Amino acid sequence: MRHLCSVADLPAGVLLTVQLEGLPDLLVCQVDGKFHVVEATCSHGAVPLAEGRVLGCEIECPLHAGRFDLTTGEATRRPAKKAIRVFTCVVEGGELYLQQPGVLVEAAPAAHSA
Amino acid sequence: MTQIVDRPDTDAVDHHDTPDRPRWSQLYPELGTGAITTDRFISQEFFDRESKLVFGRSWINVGTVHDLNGAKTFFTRDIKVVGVSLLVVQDAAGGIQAFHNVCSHRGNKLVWEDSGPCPFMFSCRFHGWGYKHDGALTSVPDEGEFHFTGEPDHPDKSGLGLVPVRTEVWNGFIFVNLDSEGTDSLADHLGPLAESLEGFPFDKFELRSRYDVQDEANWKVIIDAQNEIYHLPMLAPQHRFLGGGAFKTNDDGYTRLSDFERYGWHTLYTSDSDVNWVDTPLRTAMAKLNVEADVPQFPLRAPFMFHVAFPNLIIGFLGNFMFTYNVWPESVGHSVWEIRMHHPKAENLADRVTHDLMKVRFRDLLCEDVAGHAALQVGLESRARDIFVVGDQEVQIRAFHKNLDDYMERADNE
Repeated sequence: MRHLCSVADLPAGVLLTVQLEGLPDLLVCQVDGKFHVVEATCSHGAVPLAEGRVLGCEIECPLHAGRFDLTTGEATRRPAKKAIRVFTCVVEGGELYLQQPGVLVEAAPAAHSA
Repeated sequence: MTQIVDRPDTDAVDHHDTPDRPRWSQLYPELGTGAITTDRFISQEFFDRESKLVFGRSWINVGTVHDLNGAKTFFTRDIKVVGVSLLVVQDAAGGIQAFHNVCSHRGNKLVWEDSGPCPFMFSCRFHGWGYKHDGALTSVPDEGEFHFTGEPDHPDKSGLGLVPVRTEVWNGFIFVNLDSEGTDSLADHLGPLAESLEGFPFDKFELRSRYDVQDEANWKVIIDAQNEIYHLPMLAPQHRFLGGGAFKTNDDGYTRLSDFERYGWHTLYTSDSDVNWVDTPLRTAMAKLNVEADVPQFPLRAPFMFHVAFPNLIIGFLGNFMFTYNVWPESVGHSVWEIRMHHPKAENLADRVTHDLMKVRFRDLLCEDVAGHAALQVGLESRARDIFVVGDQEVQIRAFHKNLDDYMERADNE
């Protein structure tokens, strides 16, 4: 397991970018008490998703407003089309850790909906 | 005009997302890759040249047979860019002819109504001069007070009929040419575009709705904005949604033209559909209830086809739906975007609902475009930049502007 952050540093609404060697930049956030770790860079515009906003269980890119499901990584709104990677995590002793090997989803481009 | 006779068959090339796909600029080297000047969208001088050399000389689509209601009906069309009003009449035998909508007496605008059944005679409101449906002057109140001697400056009644305008009809589209000395036929003008659509069953479509949009933009801003699909995934919510439906995108979410063709003065681009698209719940339910509505009924080579018939007519197809645009310049920064939506004849209520659903969806989509046109004009008129750039997925825009330049240059040299 690799340390991501303290749970205390991750109240709802906070979007943290975490860098771990050998992995892409990771976006870490909490929605309704559940922690999410996803690739931090938009698959469309290649900008940091941490500058975007969380809507329900989706992260919206700040550049073109494409969206991704934080649970599955699926691109849910255009112009985003390619999924972002999702990683598994676990809380122990008030700290959030990345589980190894970590990749939960390597989704193919998903169906598109409004 | 440059003709590239050894161009590869663009329809046979996969243009979507292969790394070594040929770029459109390689397939159409005559279009170049350089910038487009801002001035042509904001200059009064350029607008005046377009008025004289394009709209005053080219074949212009002024309506369709849907604007008439069979024999002995008419419609009028004012064309502000060239300052004329036309009266288009279908005679008892079915022939269609346009005239200057001007009384020969004192120059009054003859018919003020938009359309309708032909009256017994077209009678001027001013002094009641009456014209037959073929334009002949037949009734002059108090005729004895005039000097109809037939001398050059005293024309007789036979020389005072309505002034005809060259008129030809192609597949129900009524064209006029205001250049009375011109000799090129409509077939000459449409050339390979008409050939590409030869035999197409235009008569299976009915006009279902029309919008005349007051658009705060130069006419070419409107055509250019519609003449590419690069913007679709990004412009606005309806575009994002439908950009993933009618329009195939590569894995990065960028649209890719399926094909682009130059047809003389005209162009065509096409797009495939996205197989992964999920429509709205309402449209999905409608599709299940009315399966026939989505069965392709027309011989189209792609799910989306966009023809630009130079200078200002667009004929587009989206499945079984046909839309046309007439983009009417009114001043440098103002145009009327005339939008018409056509469907096959509705066979039942489900067809009507399907068509109406398409109507509101398309209308809402185009509302997003209208806002974009005005914003473009603001930016261009600011003169912040003298030029702007276009990419290979906007090759259609390059072609349109080259056609415009070539057309005006040819007219200048004649």
